[in-house]
Amino acid sequence: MSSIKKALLQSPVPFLVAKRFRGKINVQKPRKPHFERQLLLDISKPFYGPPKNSLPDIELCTNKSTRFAKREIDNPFERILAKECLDWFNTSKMVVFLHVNSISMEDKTPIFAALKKNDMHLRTYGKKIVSMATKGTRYEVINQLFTSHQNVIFGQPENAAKMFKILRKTPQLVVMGGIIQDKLLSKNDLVEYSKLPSLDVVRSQLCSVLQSAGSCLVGQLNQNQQMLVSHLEKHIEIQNKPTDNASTSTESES
Amino acid sequence: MSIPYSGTIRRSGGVVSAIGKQLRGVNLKAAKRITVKFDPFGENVTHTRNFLHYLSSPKIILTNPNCSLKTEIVCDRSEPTIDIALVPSIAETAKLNKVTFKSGNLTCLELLQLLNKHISSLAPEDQITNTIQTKLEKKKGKKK
Repeated sequence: MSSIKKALLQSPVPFLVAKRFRGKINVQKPRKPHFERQLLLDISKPFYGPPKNSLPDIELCTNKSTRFAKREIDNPFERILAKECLDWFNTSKMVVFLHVNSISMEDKTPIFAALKKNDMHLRTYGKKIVSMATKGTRYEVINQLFTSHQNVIFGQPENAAKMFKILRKTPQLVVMGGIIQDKLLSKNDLVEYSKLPSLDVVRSQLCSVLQSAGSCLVGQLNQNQQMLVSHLEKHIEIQNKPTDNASTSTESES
Repeated sequence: MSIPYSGTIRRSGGVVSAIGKQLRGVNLKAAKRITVKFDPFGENVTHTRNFLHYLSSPKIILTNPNCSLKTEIVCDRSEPTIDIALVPSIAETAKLNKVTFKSGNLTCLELLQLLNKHISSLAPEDQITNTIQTKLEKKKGKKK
């Protein structure tokens, strides 16, 4: 910019430029300021507040301590953690809540590793995060469990038996309850669920139960005929036996 | 005419330091087995769970490694309880077999205070064993 100025001819500009020359200054009819100037003026106007005699006494107190009033600060990191927690709840079909007694990370890490090998994830979330995550969702009842120290295991329902086997080794981690396929189960229910055989086996058992009515009827209808047939067969056998004995004895004689 | 001084000289440190003070005085030598039973979905189990968490800390377990701490979860909405079975030798002298705390309406601090009152007071005192003297100490003794 300055190089362009050097190339062009510069007209002489005075150092001081006069604003006013004598005359009366206009105070009573000021002209309307530019929009932006008016904006700045409005922003910088002083604010004096209501008069002190119209306020209730509590606001006049000079001893207000903000220490006791808990200010609720919106923390974006907490929101992120709450969202992550809710994602875990939604994506895992099995969620198990554990009560944690005093345990060192040295003892906890093998459990964490063993669970991870079986496709289960042991995670810790605080009470505030979980309450933020579950507010308004169907998981809201969980907040009752989060009163002391607790951990959560997220996984799939097939691994329930393995989970109990792994947790048996640490008495410090205690199963309190769980959610399996959107159903809240108590500890005893969870144990029973883990003892059930796999879904295919149970389905086959159901099929056999449904079939049993028909097959029972068929069996009963055929019972008499089958008994008759079996008696006749035995009869034939008995009849054939003495003739066999007779033939063998004659052969030995000869 | 002035009012004579009343009140404390030192301020209390709050519930947390009171709990810490009780925990320092816990001695489980008289206990054989501690069973804590609670329903996780109950409304009044916070203090029981916190008490359980404190009891399971390594420092307190070190006072008696033979004492086993068992946690039972029940699902029938019953009140939380803490059962402590005493060591047979101490049970004979104290004429108590076991101590039960019904902790539905007790706070963590009260539970610890009761524990100290009933169990830690029954703990047998440590017997001073003969320490092995090092050569240096023996020489010093001889010189004197």
